[in-house]
Formats: sequence, C-alpha cells, structure tokens
Amino acid sequence: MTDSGDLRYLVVRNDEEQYSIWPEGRDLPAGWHAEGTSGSREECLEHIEAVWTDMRPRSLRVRMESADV
Amino acid sequence: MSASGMDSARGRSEGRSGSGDGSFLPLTTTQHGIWLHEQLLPTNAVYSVNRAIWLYGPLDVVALRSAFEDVLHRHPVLSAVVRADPEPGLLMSRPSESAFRVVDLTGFPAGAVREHAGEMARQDLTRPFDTAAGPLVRVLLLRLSDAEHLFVLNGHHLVLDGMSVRVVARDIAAAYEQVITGRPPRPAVQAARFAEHVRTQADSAPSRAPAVDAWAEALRGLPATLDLPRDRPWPATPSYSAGSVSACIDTELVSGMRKMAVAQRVTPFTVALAAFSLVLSRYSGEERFALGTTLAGRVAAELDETVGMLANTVPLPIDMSGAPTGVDLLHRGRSAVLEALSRQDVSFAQIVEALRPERMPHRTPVFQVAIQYEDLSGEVWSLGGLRSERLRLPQELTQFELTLLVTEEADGIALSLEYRKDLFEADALDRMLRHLITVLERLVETPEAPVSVLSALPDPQRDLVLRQFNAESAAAGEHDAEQVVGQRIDRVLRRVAEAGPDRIAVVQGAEEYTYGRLWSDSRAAAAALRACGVRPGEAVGLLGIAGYEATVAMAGILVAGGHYVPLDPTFPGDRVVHMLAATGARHLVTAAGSVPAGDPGVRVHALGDLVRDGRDAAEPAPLPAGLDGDLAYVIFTSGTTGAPKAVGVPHRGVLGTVLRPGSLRHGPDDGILLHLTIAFDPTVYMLWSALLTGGRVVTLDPEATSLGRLAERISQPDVTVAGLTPAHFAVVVDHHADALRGLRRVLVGGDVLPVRQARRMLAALPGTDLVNVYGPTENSIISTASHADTWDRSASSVPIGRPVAGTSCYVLDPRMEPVPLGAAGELFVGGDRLARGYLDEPGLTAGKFLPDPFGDGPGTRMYRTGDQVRWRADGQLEFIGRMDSQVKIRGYRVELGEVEAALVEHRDVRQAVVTPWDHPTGGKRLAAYLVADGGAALDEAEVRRWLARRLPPYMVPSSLRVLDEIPLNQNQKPDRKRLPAPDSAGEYRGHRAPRTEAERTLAGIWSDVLGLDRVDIEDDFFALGGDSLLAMRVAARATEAGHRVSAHDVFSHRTVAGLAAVTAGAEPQSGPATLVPAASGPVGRAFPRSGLDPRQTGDLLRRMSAADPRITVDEVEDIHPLSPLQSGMLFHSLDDAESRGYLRQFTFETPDDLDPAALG
Repeated sequence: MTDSGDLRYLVVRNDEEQYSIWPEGRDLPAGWHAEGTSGSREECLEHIEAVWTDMRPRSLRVRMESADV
Repeated sequence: MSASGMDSARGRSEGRSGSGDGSFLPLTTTQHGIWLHEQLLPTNAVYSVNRAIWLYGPLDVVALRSAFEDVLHRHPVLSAVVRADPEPGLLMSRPSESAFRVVDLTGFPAGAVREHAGEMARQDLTRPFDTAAGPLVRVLLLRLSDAEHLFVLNGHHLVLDGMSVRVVARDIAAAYEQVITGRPPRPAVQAARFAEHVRTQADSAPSRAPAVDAWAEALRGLPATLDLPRDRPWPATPSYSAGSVSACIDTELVSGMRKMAVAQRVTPFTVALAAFSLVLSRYSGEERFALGTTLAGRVAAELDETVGMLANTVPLPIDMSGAPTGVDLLHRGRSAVLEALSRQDVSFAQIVEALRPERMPHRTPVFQVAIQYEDLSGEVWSLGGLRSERLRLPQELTQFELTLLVTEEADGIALSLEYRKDLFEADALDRMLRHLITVLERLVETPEAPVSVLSALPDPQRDLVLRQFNAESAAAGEHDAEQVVGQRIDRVLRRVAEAGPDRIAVVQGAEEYTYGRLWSDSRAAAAALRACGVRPGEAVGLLGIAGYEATVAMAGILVAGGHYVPLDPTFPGDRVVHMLAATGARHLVTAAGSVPAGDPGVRVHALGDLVRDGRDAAEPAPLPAGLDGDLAYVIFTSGTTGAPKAVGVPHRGVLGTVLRPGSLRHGPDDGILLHLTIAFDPTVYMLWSALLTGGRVVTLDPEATSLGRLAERISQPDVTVAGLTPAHFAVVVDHHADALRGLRRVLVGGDVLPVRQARRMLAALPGTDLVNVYGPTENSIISTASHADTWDRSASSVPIGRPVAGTSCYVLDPRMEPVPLGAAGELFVGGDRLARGYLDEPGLTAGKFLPDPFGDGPGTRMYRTGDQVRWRADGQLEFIGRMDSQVKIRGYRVELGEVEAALVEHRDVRQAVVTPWDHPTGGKRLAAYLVADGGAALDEAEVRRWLARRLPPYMVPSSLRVLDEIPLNQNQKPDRKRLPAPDSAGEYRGHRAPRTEAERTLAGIWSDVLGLDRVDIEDDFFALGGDSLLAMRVAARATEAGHRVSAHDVFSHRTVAGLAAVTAGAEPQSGPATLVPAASGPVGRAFPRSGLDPRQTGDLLRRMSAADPRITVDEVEDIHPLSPLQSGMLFHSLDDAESRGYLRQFTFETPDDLDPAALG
C-alpha cells in the first residue's frame, strides 16, 4: 500500500462545528471549511484535541442551551 | 558456457559453414532460460513467434515453397534442432520437408471458409514444437482459392524473435520475386550470422560481471511479486491459456502520443510504459515494482539483419515514489530503458541468478507482468505485388500473468492486454484497458499533472464504484417518513405498544411480557429516573444480562431522555467504574439482580425499585419529535490497540437500521433470539429490530447457559431469526444443526464467517436465509450484508455483501481516491447512520470520522474502518483483512487472513488465527493457532506439509500450535494478546528422515544433485539451492529410478515428501486394476498419505475386511501413518491386554472473562 505517512493535512470544520482533517491540496468536500491549521496528521489531531472542547453537534448544543431539553 | 566448450563446438563444425552441416552451437543464456522454462510448462507452444498473413491475388505456391527453402538455407539457424546432451545447444540440421505444409480448403463452403482458415491457423499455434526433431520454424499455407491464401509462419522463440521475422519476411518476398521473374537476387546485406554473434557473446562473458551487479543493484528491494487483483484463486496447475482484450487507439491520441514523445525526448514505448505503470500502481497499490520487457538485443549495427534469437527479456525497475508528475515519470522511464539497453548483454537468467529470489510455484521470478512493444510498420509481406493483410490472431498461450502489447502498425497503434485466463476475467481486463487509454489521454493532455491525478479512475468506472454500487442503499431512505425513521426510539416503541398492547413483546423462560406491560414498566422506570435527577442528554449506566429487565431499563432510560451505557456483569469492577466515568454517567441501573462494585460518584438503582417507585408518577413530559440525532446508547469497542473507546450512537442509527425496508427489517411475526451480552452491539440490533416492528424478543432463561440449551431454545417454533457469532455458528452447525431447522433467517457477524459450516448448513437447510453481516459499531451495528443465495458454493470465502440501507461504502486508497473495482483498498462508510464519535476523544474522532467527499449533503462525514476490502463485479464487498494485518515476511507482502483462509481449507481445521511473530533469530515470521474440527486429531507436521503445497514458503507459518479454543475478546473476536507463545519446535525439530522407499530414493537423488550429505524430507528444494536446471536433473534421475516425476512436479511440490506423494498418487491412473491382485479383495485405491505401496495397501484393506466384514473399502476415506503419539497409544494397548484403550476426552477451556450468558 502506498505510504500515507508523508501526507500533509488541513484541520477542517463543518457547519455542525465538527472537526476533522483533510489531505492538503485536495478540494475540500462541500460543507467543510479550512480552520486555518495545517501540518502532519498528528499535528492536526493534536490541535483538534485542544480546540474541540464540546463535541455535541452545534444544532444540539443550541437546542439544549436554549430550551433545556 | 565455457570457452573450451566453444572450441569443441567450433572443432565439430565442418563443411559449408552455416548450412545443415551438423554444426553445434551451445545455447546462449537467454535461450537456455527459455529451454529450461519450457521444461516446466505443460506445453512449449508458449514460446511461439508467429504471423498470419492474408494474401490476395494469384499466388504461385511452388514459388513460395522454394522461396521459403531459400530463406532456410540463407539463415541456417531456422533449421536448427535442440540437442540436450552433453550440454544443451542448437544442432544445425537439414531443412525439414514438413516445415512447409499446404492445406487445400478450396472445397470448403465459401461462406465459412475464412473463419475455418482462421481456426486452423489458431490450432497450429497451439501445436507444440518437437525441439529434438524439428522443425522449429514452420509454415502452414491455407489455400482458400486460387486468389486467396492464408500464410501462417510459426517459429520457436529459441531461433526466432520479432526483429528476425522482419528480415525473414523481406527475404521471402525477395526470393519469391526472384523465382517468379528469374531476375538475379539482390546482393545480400552484410549481416552477422547468428553463430558468429553467439561466439562473440561467449567471448565477452567475463566482462559482464559489473553489468550483472548493476542489474542486481537496480532491482534490489523491489517487491518480489506485483500482485494484481485476481478474479480467481490460484490454480493448482496453471494452464497458461491466454485471453486478450484489445483496442486501437484513435489517430488523435496516436499523434498526441508521438508529439509528446518528441517534446519530452522519449520514445512512444516510454509513454506507454509510463501509462501502464500508472495503471498497475493503481491496481496493486505498489509504488515501486519490476515490469518485464523485451529488448531487441541488436547491440551493433551488423546485428540488425541477423536472424536468430537475439532478443532478451529484462526487468525494468519502475519507481513512482515521491509524488512525481507525468513528465518526471517519463524521464524516469527513459533512464530505466537506457540503463537496461546499456546492460542488455546480460540475460534474464543471469539476473535471476544474481538476485536469487525466493521462488514461487508457477510464478516467474522478479516480474510477473510485462510490456512488449512491437513495430510492425516496417514489416512488409509483399509477395510479387500481391495485396497482403495481417490477420491478428489472439495468442492462445502466454508466459506471463499479464502482458501489455503495444503494436505500432502502418495505420496506428494497437493496445492489447494478454492475460492468463486461469487468473483473470475478460471484463476486469477490459476495464483495465479503458483505464489505460484514459491515463494515456491525460498524460498527453496534462503531462505536468501529478501521478495521483493522472492515474485516477475513468469517470464511468468511478461512477460505478461510488454511485451505482451505493444507489440501492441510498434510495432506501426515500420512505423514511412513513417508516417513522427520523424520530426517537422511545416514540416509535410507544406507537407500537399502543397499537397492540396485548401482543407479546418479550418471552423469557415460561414468562411472557406484553407490549402494554413493557411500555408501562418503561414509563414508570423513566419517571423514577427523572425524579432522581436524570436529565435529557445524560448517559445512564445499565448493568445486566439480556432479558426483560434489561429491556425495560433500556427503554426507560430512553423515555427519560437519556442514553444507555450497557455493561456486562462479568466486567471487572474497576472497568465498570472506568466506563461510567468515561461517559459521565451519574446513575447506574442494575437489572436482574446484578450488583456492581461500589463507586461513591454513581447512584445505583435496582430496576425493580425504579418500576415500583415510578408506577404512580406522572408520565415524563414527552421529548420533542424529530430528535433522532440524540444519542441512544454508548458502547465500548476495543480496538486492536489501546483502551476501549466509547462510541456514541444516535437514535437515527438504530431506526435507520431496523425500520428501513430491506433484508434487515423484521416483522410482527418474527421471534428474535436475544442471547448475547447487552454490552455487544448486535444485541442493540436484535432487540430493537423486534420491538420496533411489533415482533417478539425471545430471551434465554438466565440459568440455562449451556450450548445445548441455546440450541434447544433456537429450535422452538417461536424463534424465527437468530444472530450468532461465527464461533457459536460453527458449534451449532456442527453439533445441533437440526436446531436451525425452524429459522427463517440466520445472521452471522462479528468476524469471518466459517465457510465450511456455512456450506454444511446450506446443504441441510437450503431454504434458510443465511446472512453474513459486517459492520463497525461506529456505523450503527451493521454496514453491509450478504445473503447466501448470492454465494458461490465452491469459493473459499463469502463476501460481506452490499451496503445496507442508509450506508454508502467507498473503497479508497491512502489519498482517499477510489481504487479500481477488484483492487484492495480501505473501506470507508458514509451515510446517515454514523455514530456521533468517540465520547470525549476529539482527536481520535477527527482522525476516524473524515469529510465525505462523495456524500449527498454538505458537511457529511465518513468513517474510516481500518478494514481492507475489495469490490466484486456484482457490487458486493469482499473482506480481505485489517489494514494493519498485512505484514512483510522476507520482503513479501502477506495478508494474514489469506493464510488463515488457506488453513481452514484443511479438512481437520475448524478455526485458524495467524499472527506475525518476531522470531528470536529468524526475523519476522508467522505463527498459526489451530482448532481441530469436530475433535479430529491434528497432526501439525501434516498440516504444514499440506499448506506448503498450497502457499509459497514465506506464507507457511513457522509455528503451528493446536489449541482447544481460540481465546475471544469482549467483541467475540480472537484476542491475539491472549494467545500462547509461538512454538518454533515444529520448524526446527531436527532431521526428518525418509519413511518410504520412494522418499529414500528421492532423498538420495536430491542429495546427489544438490551436493548435500543428507536431505530432510520436508526441506524446500529452492531453499537448498535448487534451481530449474537442477529440478530437471532430479526429474530425469527420479524417472530413471522408476518414479515418474517431471521438473514441473519438482517446482510445484518442492519437498521430498511432497514429491513422493505425487509419484504414489500418479500410479492408480495408469492402472488401478493391477493394484490389488486378489479379485475377491477390495477394489484398488491409492492412499498417497499412507506411505504404503499398492501391495501393502491391498494387504491392509484385506486384513481390515477380514477382521470386520462390515468395513468395505469404500468406507475408508484415507490412510495415515500413525503419529508418534498414536503409535505410543497403540503400543500400550497391545502391550496391556487389560487395557481399555485410550479414550480421548475433550474439555474446552474457556477464557476468564467469557460471558456465560453469551454462550447461552
């Protein structure tokens, strides 16, 4: 299998504010935005570990905070 | 060859040089390679160089015959025959009368005659050459009418190559012209004779050493094999029968190729080489590999016109690493070709000699895929002005697994892929050819593009694997609204309960619980939980076993707005504490009397108390509709490494699985067995697929934990669907197959389905829907399903199937681009049933749940499964193994699952687990763990021998251990960490001496031929330094000694023991009647594994019949020699008259944390 260890990635986020990573240089899939960080896979995941503090999808978080259900 | 050999050859040559003068030319190394190789093949017609030419107009057949004879005289090598002793060489003979045959087809019906002529030509191409008697070059002239002939020239590669044919064509035309017109011949072109070339080559032999080293250097470190996705399993005996798919590329692309070749200063061959490499890389996943090609070998101008075998096959190293562009690749290709040309006086045989690669039966060393370039535009068959036209005959036989033929003709370029029919299907190669043409087009249009872009799938093929194979599962969501998918589980349960409150929901032992009771108990538990402070969106632990109480607890937690965390009472206390902490649960519900270890941070509620306390409470305020994104449950999965991860699955995942139309949906008439631990996610599916469709859940009596009870319960008429782990399935089929008789459907999942038991079950119960299901917890239990009615009953594995409703499957490479149909890649699953992620693990979640570039909506995700799979042409997926289960053994890529699959093909092996093992001194090895089938006594040495005949040596595990049972982890998969240490004793147990006369004789021959003092009967021929020439010597001497084996057999069987078995097995075919002379005795049958000769076999069978007349020969399946242990038992039995014999008792050790409830 082709070695993917040397690929560089971007930190990306969707409208539900879920984070992920995506190979640099490939078109971003619809609905995903570059968050501003790039680097090796490990660097990107470390960054996400630090910034993605509430893992609930945004719509759920909003509902729970506003309606108490 | 030695210089003195040359001298003697020269000494023998006399008379008119270069005619049929009996002079002798030792084979060149290339010829020697061909000659050796063809001894190993079923037919030497593989090495055919041929042309078929239509000739239109009045042909003078007599003139053509004499023109051909003239050419034979002009190029004496064409009339050579092979002499094998004392050293192999060409003997120049008189041209043979039979070299030119004319067949008259003028009487044939006009409509069919052309087709018939083509058929005869093809048949001639498969007719082997008699290399000892000749002719090695022959002409078949088919006369259709006075003005229509088919001229078929067929030469053995030992004396003819592509460049020679051009000279032969021109010389035949010239000689024909001369005969017809009587004009004097043109002056002969000054060309070196083949014999002179051979002598020059031999003289320069010592100077080739640096070139040989350079070859070895260029090829070192490349994978030993280029493994393309095969459509068929390896055949035991290859047929070399060829199929081919061809296409002519359009003129625009041809001129584009030529222009680009000029611009990049490469040849059109290099352009084709780059394109083919790109395609092969896509199919194999390799970035570096060797590709064979043929060089003309015309190293000097005076050799241009020489007729003979000068061509040389060489391996070209291909390197696509470091993300090159198309232009980079062209330049790398040019360097590889130039370097090969600079060393082309080194033959392939010498390269193999220098590299000494591990040999595999029926596969060429160093390379298995080739590219050949032929320029036929300069080859003219113009006989006295007759119009000629080449008839393209597909080659009937092929040496290599796959060859790309690039043929430049006067009117364009033809591409054809020639393949071994016993490995590949035409459809698959047709797709590859389309892919190749697409890559060529891209290369011409955008040569600066990176290889990943250039090699991407053609659009129609991309659409097939991304869209069409997922179309059905994507469409399954169309009726979600009417199926109430998109709500919460508790809301759907309430609807079902209110629609039929008196229907039976849960059956447990003698108790039956209605939907009305289930709903009111669940509602009460929910009210009590709310009263205790449980908030919507909160995790609540649940400790219990599958049963009514646990069902109420799950439903109650959901009605309260929480999500349940199912935990098994057999989990160690600190593990439960850790899991509760990881999910943030503050409350734990215990069902069926389970009591956990104390943890001050968690409030524990017995379910019975909750139901009682909440009975009179008001119903909790219903949650808003449509919150299917809320979590329903959290289940821990243990990956192959690291701590268990908490996977949070939303309601949508469950409803999308159990309610959408399709084979995973059950109905109100179904009774579904619930017997696994609640902490295992198949339980989620079994439970809700029954309760949300109005069906029955059938649980086991908690006291009834034996397998027999499980089988007994399954056999009751109220059970219609059962889900079993592969381990349970195997045991149930083997021991309680009748229990399955009343089932409508059997689902098996969690690990690889045991094929043998599946076959047994299907044979006994053909009407039952056996389903192989696959899926990670991260995509709601089930992602793909395959039904038995789609399985090939002879295949050694079954597919994992098509994506189920709501799931899309993608097979991708590391850059997340789809791989070709049939090629191995990583499985990614997308769709609307994905888990939310790993609780409190943002990094882990982000690394496994990736943007879905192929998804329908914006911002969707796909889960990276870590499993290696491939698409089949019918749209089903085949499981190959874990991505991390691929190991390199001595440089070869080995898929552990493939070794396991081969082991369970052995009839006494039920289950096999293979793991990599760092051998203390021997580097990385394989260790295998086996479970015997149905109590058979497994002989490790026998299994090893058996395996060695099926797999290349590097795939045969160094350690084989027989276990009573493979330890399983919590997810019912083999727990590799708890396997005992490997045992290398099997491999190094010392010398295994010959046991039979045949083995003794063969071992003696091996020792002589290989120059060894002694040979172990299990030693590998190649490991001892054997090669193809030595294999021929062994074959010759064995045959002299009365053991008829071929070099081919030596290559295939490779051990003295294996070879002896062949000679034993070969005998009955020659005359079974002679085996057992006594007419009254048993009919003669051979038992090669017995090590007995036919007379001994006959004696044994007669003695058996005499001892017990009920035993007939037909009942004897096989005869094996006793293992040392068995001999010991027999000895003791005979020694002690009072002995009751050895009664073998089987006890099964179970792993410590095995859940008794799970076993039933």
